[in-house]
Amino acid sequence: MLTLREKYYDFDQISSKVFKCRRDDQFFTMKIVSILNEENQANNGVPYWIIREISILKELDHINIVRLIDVMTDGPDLFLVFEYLDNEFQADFLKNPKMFMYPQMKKEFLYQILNTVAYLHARKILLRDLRPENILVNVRTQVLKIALFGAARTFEAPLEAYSSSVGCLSYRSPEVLFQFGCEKYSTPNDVWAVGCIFGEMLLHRPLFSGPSDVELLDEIFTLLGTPTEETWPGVTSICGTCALMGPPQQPKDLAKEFPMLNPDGLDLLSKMLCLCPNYRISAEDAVKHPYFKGV
Amino acid sequence: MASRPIVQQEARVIYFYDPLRIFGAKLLGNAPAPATAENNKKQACANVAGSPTVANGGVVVAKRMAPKPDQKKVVLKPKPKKVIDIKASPNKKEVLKDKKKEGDSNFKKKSHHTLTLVFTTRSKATWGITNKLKERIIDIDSDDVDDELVVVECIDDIYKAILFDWLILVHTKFNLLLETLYLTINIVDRFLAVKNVPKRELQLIDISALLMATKYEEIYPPQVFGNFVCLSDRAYTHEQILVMEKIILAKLEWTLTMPIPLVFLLRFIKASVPDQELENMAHFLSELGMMHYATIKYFPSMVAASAVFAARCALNKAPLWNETLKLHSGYSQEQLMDCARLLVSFHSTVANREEKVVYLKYSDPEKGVVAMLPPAKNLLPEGSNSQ
Repeated sequence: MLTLREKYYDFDQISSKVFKCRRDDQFFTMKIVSILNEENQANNGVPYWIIREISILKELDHINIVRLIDVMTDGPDLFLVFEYLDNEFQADFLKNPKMFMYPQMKKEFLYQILNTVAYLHARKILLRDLRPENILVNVRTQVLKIALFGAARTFEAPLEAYSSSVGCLSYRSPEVLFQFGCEKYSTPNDVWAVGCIFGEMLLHRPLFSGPSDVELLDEIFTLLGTPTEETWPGVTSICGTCALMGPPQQPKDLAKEFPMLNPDGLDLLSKMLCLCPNYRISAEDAVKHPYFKGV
Repeated sequence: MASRPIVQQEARVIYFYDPLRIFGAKLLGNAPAPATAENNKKQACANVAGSPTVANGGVVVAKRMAPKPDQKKVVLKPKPKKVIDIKASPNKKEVLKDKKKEGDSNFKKKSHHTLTLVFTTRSKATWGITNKLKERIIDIDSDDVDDELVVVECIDDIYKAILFDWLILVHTKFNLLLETLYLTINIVDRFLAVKNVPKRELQLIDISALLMATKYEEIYPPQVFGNFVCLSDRAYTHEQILVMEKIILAKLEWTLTMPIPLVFLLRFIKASVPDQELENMAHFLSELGMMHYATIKYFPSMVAASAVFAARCALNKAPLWNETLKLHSGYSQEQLMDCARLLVSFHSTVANREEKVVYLKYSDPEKGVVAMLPPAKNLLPEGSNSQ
């Protein structure tokens, strides 16, 4: 069996844990992951998120997902070899000023994100941590790639309870923020995150940015209104206490908040940011939405 | 069960070749020295090359390691036979009488010096065991302690059942998800299919596979240091468990996202519009299937569908299989018959087995005591004894 140095060569450091390397005139990106903890001990072996990331990535084959080529081990380190993404692929794609040059470009990228999420959901995979930092974009070729599947996991129906402490706070859905026993979230959680990214594309700032769960919920309800039993059946039993929801608020007019959006765009955004997860649009249906006509 | 390492089970041995053949050339030349290890290796390679890792009935084969001082050596006792020294025999009639006494009807008057007879006679003479059977028993594996191809151990249904029993106890103790149990079995089966392992490492593989499955499926996986080391009654160290985890992951190429029967079972139970009893019975039969290698030849979806079908038969649900189930499972009643009969046969014998943790688990009132219900009679072969 070939060792790491025999298989790959011409290592070029990109960041502290990421290298560019070569094999047979082909370039690859190598990510180094240590299985040691802060005390330099491998108390629990290979971290759970690495096991999930690798085993899930090995099953996937999609143009908008960073492809895992190889996994190698060397002592306490794991070397994940991915397809090479050149310098034109910028991390945290919303911080790229060229991103906002053409409205059609935003639509194109949103379509690619939704298409990828629909692909994953069809394969019973929840992303759970979808945020701009995990999305790489090549503005010139208009190709988008989703990376980092550490928080991803497979799901089955009937759904099990999953950890409610996943994902970046700003992109967490209301059902995850309602932590009172509401851990049975599913695919709508990812659709909510896409809705937040869509809003961020349009406003050039995070749609919700509360520093804590309660403040974030307050921001959500300020924009979308406080949920009721009519708009979200069973919400009172989920949140456990109405104090968490604060005083009742009416939803704002999204057309005024997002004047740059046409009616189709507003309809899609409102369906992706629907408070009730059961009423929220699925990624599969979102891809077929009239907003994407001509993409 | 969990407190005693399963490695204490005595090994079963399969011999792939006749050890006497190795000595052929030297014995013909009346050489007293036994064959070298090098010759053994060549012979073993010639005989073992191409032999499947998985024997008939899906039995996984594991390499035999060099016997350790604390392990029982496998000793083959030669059958005491009357040896007739043709050269020394003064009278052919005496030889004939001896043969006739033994009832050899095919014996012809003209004696044949077959190669086998020469080998047998000379090999026994060479090793000096013709008249000294009680004094000296030859360990025929002594020259092959470093040759892992010569003799292999067979991990059969008994071992799988013991491992599975232990797994269910651990699974219950830690209150783990059913997905974790199924994935652990899947990991173990796939690993043993691609890697030969000594029996003493089986429980280590089980523990490491369980560790991986908990990391993949559970929200809060148990800790290795505190929990997993204690599981084996400290038979394995913390380091051994983690090293084996990496070995398994590498061998399986990190592929843990696998179709397991449970995924299909939950779907087919839903399609069956179940009551609690049917659900418990289907789970019971599915877990019984996991205990045995015989089910490996079936797709996970077929095992799941057969479990639901056999459960419906056992509980006399009418119809036994309907269009909804056929649509969602993709199998007709006829297609499920073989696998369902197999599951029912396991059900009919489980109460009498030593490894009966699954039986006890589903004899609990919480599980509707479904294990104690009679198996589906219409799927049992005629004349077989049910529990």
